[in-house]
Amino acid sequence: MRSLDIAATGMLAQQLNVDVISNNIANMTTAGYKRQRPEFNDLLYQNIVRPGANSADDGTIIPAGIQLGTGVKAGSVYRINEQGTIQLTENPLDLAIDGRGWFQVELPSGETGYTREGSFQLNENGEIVNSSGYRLEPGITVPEDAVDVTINANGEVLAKIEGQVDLSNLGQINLAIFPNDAGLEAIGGNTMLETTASGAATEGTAGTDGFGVLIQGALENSNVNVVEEITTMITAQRAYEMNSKVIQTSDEMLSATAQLR
Amino acid sequence: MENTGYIVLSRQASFQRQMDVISNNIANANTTGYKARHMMFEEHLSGGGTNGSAISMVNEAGQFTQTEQGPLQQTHNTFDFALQGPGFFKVEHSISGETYYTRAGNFTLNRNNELVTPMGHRVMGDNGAIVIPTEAKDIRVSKSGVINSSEGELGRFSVVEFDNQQGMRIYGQNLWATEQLEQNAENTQLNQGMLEGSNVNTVTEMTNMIEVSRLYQMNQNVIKNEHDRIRNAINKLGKIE
Repeated sequence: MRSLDIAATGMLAQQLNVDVISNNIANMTTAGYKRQRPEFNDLLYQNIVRPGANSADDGTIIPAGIQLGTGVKAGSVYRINEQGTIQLTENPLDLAIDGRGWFQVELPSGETGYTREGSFQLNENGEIVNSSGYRLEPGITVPEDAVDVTINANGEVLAKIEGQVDLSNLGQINLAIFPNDAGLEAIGGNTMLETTASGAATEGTAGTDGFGVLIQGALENSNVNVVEEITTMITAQRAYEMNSKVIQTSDEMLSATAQLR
Repeated sequence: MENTGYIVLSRQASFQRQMDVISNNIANANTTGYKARHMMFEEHLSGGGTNGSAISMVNEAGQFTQTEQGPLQQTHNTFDFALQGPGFFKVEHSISGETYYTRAGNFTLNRNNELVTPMGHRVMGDNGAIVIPTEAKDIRVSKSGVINSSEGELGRFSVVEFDNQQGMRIYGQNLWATEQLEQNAENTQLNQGMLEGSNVNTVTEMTNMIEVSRLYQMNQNVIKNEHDRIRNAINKLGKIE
């Protein structure tokens, strides 16, 4: 019976659904996390009677035909890059992006990683690094005698140096944007890599055309909506149960057949 | 004499078919834009018996699509679109280049800035594929499908309606195909930031399933009784007093 296999595809799909939901809920307080959503597709159809086939010589055609579906499969799991809420932290090196764009960090492999998590710190050399210790690109070094660091909406890093009247410009934090943010490859640690699907990165100044603005002393919360996740989880669980009921019913039908003499 | 067996058998086959269709509906109870399918059966009169009466069997007549509107779910995603009304989005298959239609508006961008389905098929506007430039912000799509952004108007979704939705072929991947003439959508509205859920009514499907399962078992009993009857008859008739 097909229904056994079809219900199995349904259970697998719901299992994946719950996997994705649980990852979203687990990351509900991860700064800069973007929630994911699986997309399901119906699988291919078997044409038992093709719609539009002739049913008689006089040209009568079958209006709807019989097409048997073979279940469901996950088409893709993609990130929803909706803006997360901005939370004030008053930490001078915490940066939130309001709008589009990614911070660029230098990964240990030499590649450029992209992240929305803006909780930056200083390392032993005074360089601005992210929470994993990866250097911000382009690199910015804060001198030891800097009293106060200000980062404006366009990404200019200004420092008040002990004994100087004017603020000194330490550099510029640039953002990167992609044609298709959902196509970036997540490698964990809130970090993404460029892929063919995402298209090439365009580097630019925050606040200019298409780029978001920087907010100092704030972090972008994850955009996970817990209420939504929980309701999706309930639906997924019920759908899972129903698919298992289908398997049970198909099994009962088969067992009735097997008991025939 | 064996007609009972064949009649019941035709019914059993129909139940299995119905079960296949129900299970596909339930498996797709969470598939965006999916439309439930249902089986139709008809009476098939087969020949005349010894006394001239025809035997009535069950035959598959066809299927129909439950075309009712699926529930609209709010997602707040810029590239999620739900259709309200009988229309379809027009997409171009990424491999064959053929035109297909879909109700699932869960689109995303590809690396060429084109709007595509999750499987990578390009979504068609009135002037070919819909392109959303990188610098475009604040993308707003009106109910009639016109795409506006900070960079001005970016095109219009090609939303089409058909005379006979039942006559459309299902392709899988939430796609439909048909040779019917496209008509510009008049009764269809587009809603941005929403998706149309599957219109499978799980309660109905579950009750149908229980019914199918019980009837199947009852029919199985008929076969069993018929078998017993024939066996008894042979035993009794063959007995020499």
